[in-house]
Amino acid sequence: MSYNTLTDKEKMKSMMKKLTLFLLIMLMVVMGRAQSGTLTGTVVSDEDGEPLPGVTVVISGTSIGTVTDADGKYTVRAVAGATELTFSFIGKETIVERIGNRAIIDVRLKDEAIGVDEVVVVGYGQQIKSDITGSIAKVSVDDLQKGADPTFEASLQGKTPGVFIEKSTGKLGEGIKIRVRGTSSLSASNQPLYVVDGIIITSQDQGTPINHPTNPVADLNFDDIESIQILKDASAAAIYGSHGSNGVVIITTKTGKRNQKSSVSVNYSHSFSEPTRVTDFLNKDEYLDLIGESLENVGYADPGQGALTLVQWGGYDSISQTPETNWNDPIFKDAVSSNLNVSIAGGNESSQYYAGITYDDQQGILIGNNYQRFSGRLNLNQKVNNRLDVGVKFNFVKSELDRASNDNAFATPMQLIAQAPFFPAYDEEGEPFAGTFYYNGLITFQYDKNLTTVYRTLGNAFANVRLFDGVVFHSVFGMDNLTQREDEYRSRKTDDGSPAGKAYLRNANVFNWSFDNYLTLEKTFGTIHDIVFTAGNSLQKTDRFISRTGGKNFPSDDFQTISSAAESDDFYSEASGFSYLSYFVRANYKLAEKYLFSASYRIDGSSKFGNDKRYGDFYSGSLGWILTGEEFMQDLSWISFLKLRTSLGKTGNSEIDDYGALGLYEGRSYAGKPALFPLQLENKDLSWESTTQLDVGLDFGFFNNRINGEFDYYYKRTTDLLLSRLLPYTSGFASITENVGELENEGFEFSVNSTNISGKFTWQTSFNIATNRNKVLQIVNPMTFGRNRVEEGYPVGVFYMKKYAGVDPENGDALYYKNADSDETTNNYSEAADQVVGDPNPEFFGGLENTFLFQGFDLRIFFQFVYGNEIYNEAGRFMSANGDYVDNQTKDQLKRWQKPGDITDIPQARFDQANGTRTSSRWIYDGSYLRLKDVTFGYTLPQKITRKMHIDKLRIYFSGLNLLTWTDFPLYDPEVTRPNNNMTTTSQNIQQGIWYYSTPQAKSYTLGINLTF
Amino acid sequence: MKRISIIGFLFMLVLAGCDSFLDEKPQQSIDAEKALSTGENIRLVMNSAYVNTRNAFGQQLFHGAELLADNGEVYFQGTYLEPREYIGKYLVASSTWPQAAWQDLYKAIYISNQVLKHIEKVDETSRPQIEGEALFIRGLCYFELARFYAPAYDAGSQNTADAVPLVLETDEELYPARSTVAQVYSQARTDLETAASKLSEDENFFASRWAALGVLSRLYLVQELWAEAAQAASDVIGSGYFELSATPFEAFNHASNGPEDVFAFQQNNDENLGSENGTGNEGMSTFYASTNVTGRSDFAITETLFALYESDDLRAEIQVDLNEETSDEKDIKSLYYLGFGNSNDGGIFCAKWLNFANNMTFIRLAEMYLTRAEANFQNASTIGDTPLNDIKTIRERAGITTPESIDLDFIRKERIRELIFEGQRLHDYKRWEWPVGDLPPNSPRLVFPIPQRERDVNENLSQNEGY
Repeated sequence: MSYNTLTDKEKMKSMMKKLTLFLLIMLMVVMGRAQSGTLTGTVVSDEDGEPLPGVTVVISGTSIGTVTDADGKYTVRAVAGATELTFSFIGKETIVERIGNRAIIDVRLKDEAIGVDEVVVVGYGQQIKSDITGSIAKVSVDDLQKGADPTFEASLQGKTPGVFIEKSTGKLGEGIKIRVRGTSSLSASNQPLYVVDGIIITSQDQGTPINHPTNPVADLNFDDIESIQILKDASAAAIYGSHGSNGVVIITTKTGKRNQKSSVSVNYSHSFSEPTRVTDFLNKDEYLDLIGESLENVGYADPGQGALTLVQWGGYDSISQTPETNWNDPIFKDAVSSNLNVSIAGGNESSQYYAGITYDDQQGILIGNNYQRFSGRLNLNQKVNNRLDVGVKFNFVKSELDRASNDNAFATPMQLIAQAPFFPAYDEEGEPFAGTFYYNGLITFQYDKNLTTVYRTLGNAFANVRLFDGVVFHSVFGMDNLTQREDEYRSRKTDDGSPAGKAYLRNANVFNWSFDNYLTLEKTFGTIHDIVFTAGNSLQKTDRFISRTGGKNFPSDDFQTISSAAESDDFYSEASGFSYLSYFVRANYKLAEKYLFSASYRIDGSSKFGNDKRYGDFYSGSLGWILTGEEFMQDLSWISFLKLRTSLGKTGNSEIDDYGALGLYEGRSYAGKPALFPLQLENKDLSWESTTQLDVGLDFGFFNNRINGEFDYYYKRTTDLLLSRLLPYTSGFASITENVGELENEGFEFSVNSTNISGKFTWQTSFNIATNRNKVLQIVNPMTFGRNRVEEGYPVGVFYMKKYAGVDPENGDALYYKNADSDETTNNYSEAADQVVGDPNPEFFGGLENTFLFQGFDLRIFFQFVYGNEIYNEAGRFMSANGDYVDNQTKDQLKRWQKPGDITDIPQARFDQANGTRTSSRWIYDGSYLRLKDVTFGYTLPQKITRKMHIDKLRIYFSGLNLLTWTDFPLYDPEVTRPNNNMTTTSQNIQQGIWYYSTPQAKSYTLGINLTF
Repeated sequence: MKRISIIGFLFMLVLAGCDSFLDEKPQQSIDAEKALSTGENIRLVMNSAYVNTRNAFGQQLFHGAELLADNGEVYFQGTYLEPREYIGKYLVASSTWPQAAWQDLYKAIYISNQVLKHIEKVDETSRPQIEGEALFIRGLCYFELARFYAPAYDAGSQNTADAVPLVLETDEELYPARSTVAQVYSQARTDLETAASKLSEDENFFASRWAALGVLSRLYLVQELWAEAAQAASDVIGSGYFELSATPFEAFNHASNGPEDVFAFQQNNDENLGSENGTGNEGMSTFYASTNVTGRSDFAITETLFALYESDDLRAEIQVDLNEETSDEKDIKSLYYLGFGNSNDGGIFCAKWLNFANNMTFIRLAEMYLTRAEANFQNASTIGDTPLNDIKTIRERAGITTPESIDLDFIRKERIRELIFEGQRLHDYKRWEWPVGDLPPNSPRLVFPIPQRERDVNENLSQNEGY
């Protein structure tokens, strides 16, 4: 929205020298032609008649131009043959004036109408927002906070209704969970499809299964992105047919505008990050008191001697000898990050370009966790003649991620909080102390290397041919080459690297190409029939190659490449691939500017399914009615726009293993002899999972669109669920991939934008909220993955376990409810029935944003919220287990039962006796939170000053990310999913809302500068 | 119009003949039909059954037999929940180790059934051996399933309690109920006896006739078929293929089968339980060893164990001269040693399972002597030799003398002393009706649960008492 006035255009002196060469080259590209005469004039605002400084004035078809001064005046030297002047200003409508014989051209610029006439990119084309009958959320990147985290997905959080975004933990470079209108599949992926400049990109994790998933979408450079649109309903997504069920994220990258004066942007920011919250554990005295008591209670220590026994186990003679450590201290570091982006964009009538380079250096809040990215992009459009446009887009990215171990490893920094507080973190020599009860992960941090390097090349070439009036042929060839190298060295000093060092190298190469050809026809018949027709086909193919090698027994830790290993420790390679072949048509028809009809149809073929079931049909139809186009609405002048729309359609999902339909034996070995292993059962009938979705929506604009927004209701039913249906192990197999079962998602989405005050002081508010109710309708057998369960009649992933009933006041035993229907309790864990005890799915979520503009100041305050989800602390059995073992405990455990009559819900401490430590609802917490996610305060220097420095715009800003979080969740941070190693797609879909030594999110403070000249 | 026709032509080109574009063939796997089409392939399919069987024993079952019978001999100082469940005898229906073992054993049974179904494709020369191996694996798996997942076999009764489902075909849609203890033992016995009649005598990598007889001798002991047990053990001893190693320590930790190994699961540097390369880290050495190679040091051995031995028994010798800085796994020369792995804290560790790349001994010759002695004593017979002589053989190697008169209790305790930590203890206790600490031998807490996951999927399965 009009926040655009204040965005990324400023300068940094130290970069100037480096830029000079770059600029010279780029400016030569857009050199103007010979000049003659001058044109002058004044530009004022149409609303109040005030002069507008800073308006770009360009002779159409050239790059010759200027900007207006503080009084709104301009002077342009006209070139021979100049016929038009283009006036543009962010937040105002661009106008083109014929020069004719005039020497003085005064213009009035109107405020850009808010919202409805935006161009929205849809699959295979684009549409005016007011003509759209589907549900599409468009996000302007200018409205997103760009702080320490360079991934754009995280910044989308809370910005669009119905799109639920959750970072798995605060570790850098790992997968981000995105659910568009709920979970629609159990065994196929639920992540949306990503389309960048018309090309489907590789978005699936390519990392090693023994660590958390990585996120290939993180390679996309925030600074290159122009806009993001998320296709949510069937009408919008059905054109992507088989890929559409999870929603489609369409990303367009920046490109030079026609007749845009070339301008250089330099953006630099510097950030400082820390954890959103650090949870205190027991201090030394409390720890010795509790664990000592625990030992005494079971006779492992004499009465009164528990604490002493404990420190003696730890190798000390007395308590007074022991140091005290807060193990949170060595886990986190003060993270400093910086980001530099330089870009240039411009264009004349026939050529437009955008070129940008970006360097990100991000430090994680966790020790040993850092991310660096270098990205370069070049986008070129060329009008060859009146019939033909061609262009290329090219993006190269290199990123390096220093990783920590998975959360289920002692080597992961967050597990240091389990260490007893009477050990030092480091010994006198500064080496990580090796005598802790549990392996000291600092040894791994100090001596190991775990580096993931990604080389990514995204490119496409396109041609648009205007065949005859209104008919255009489009051809796009795209490719996405991803090379991910994981380089790991385990020192001989660590548990995993002993006795003499181990090194592992894993390479994943994924080459994904697509070739789309389609025709579009745009025609107006008579005066009231507008038709847009699209038809074409698409080929897509992905080849994946993975190799691994490993070596052990190194001369010393100085040698870390496998060439120095004395023995092999791993050798492996595999190749796989999949392909899609699709045909699609779409017709949009607009009658009398107020009745909208749209229909699409797509046939998809996929290599993943059985020979007879390869092809699937997907379709949608939608209707729109612009009520404000009707006579009877004309009297209600305060209603500036009102559109009712509805759509119904079917989309698909095929995101399963590449060869799911085949019965396979895999080649393996038994101690050096080859072997054939029965891997999976055949299912010739395996086919598409399909989702039928109904959407009813209302778009509204009141008071000349000063208040505008959307309301949507949707109902999604997914049938023929792609499901790894569990088989009894007695069958020889764990599961078979089948199309069985049904589930539904239903929800409301509401968003509203309001310009509360406009003028010199402007105040805008945006609010969005969405609900989603997910329910499994039919499934063969309930499925349990860890703590989460899929059962008919419940949402996907409900918590299923024994229900904790507190503590017996008589004896301190943990009690459980015997079954769901009674209050009867038992202290025998096995006697209690499992039951549904919680739900990790939120009831609603959304965001509230306020922006204020005054003179050159801008302020944005953005809150994000998630309500009604629950979180299970999987580590509760270790860290909140009434001193059952040597793990340090959360503070609440001090309230343990100690003597008959004590009323508490913490059982008696009994060392290693599992009193209340088995999985139960004891560790389920409310995961709702409200977060002050973004506060950005900026100041743009007056143009009076900057003009003298030949700078178009200079803005400095301060930005805070996740500054405040309100939550009842007791541990670190409530934003968690269930990151783990060795997860299948099914277990990723089902396991959610689990905290397990999860790294908290980062809180960041950023200082930045935007410079444009 | 010319241009349109060119475009049109291009369009047609793209649309035409594309179905083959969707043909993607896997490269790490072959079609099931092809895999089962030749005799050579059937041999390779059979090989994978050993992997699953080994994984079940090495990761969950040996631990189950030792730790469920533990009464303070092992001090667990690791972090895994699963061994604590065994040692504390507080398994629950959702416990992961009993579930994992169940899955692996039934996978091995499935593979064996598949091999037996296609055995006709194997040429006649190789057929008896491969058929014997399939029957051996299936019989072994059912015997072990019955011992862990059902109440103990009682030689004097009908044994009608539920054991485990008997699956003898390869139909993956079966939802079988549990067969009785008697039925499962009967199937295991038939399979193993048939296997013994078919297997080769000089096989030293896969199962041999002696391996089948060795497992059978265990089964006969449970069924109190003393003469059969003594005979089977005696056949192995008399086969001439095996000899006792010079010292107790030398019976263990061999890269290929040692002189005493009647049957061992094979491992090497590249394929084993417990190495780091992504296959898992729960092999025997992971828990038992405390060396520079494997430093987890989870199972420290306590004085309770050493109290079972006479002072100069080599089987209880503790080596004390090793240290973290300079010592190597190869310096270990005794069955027990002071740990020198990263997290040892000075504990004593057992050297029977030192390295994950070594073969995993499953039946060794010493057990056959002890079995023969026990069976002969019960049977009042001297098949092969007298009980006293057999016990003397074992004790002499351990460097100690033997009283001239021994009773049943002495023979039983000798068996524990010799075979401790080798995955037999719980089964022997149950056979002898010895309690485990406070728990009577028939305590439901000494029986694995039927895995909850399996009962979720197959409603025909009943649960064991206490879960």
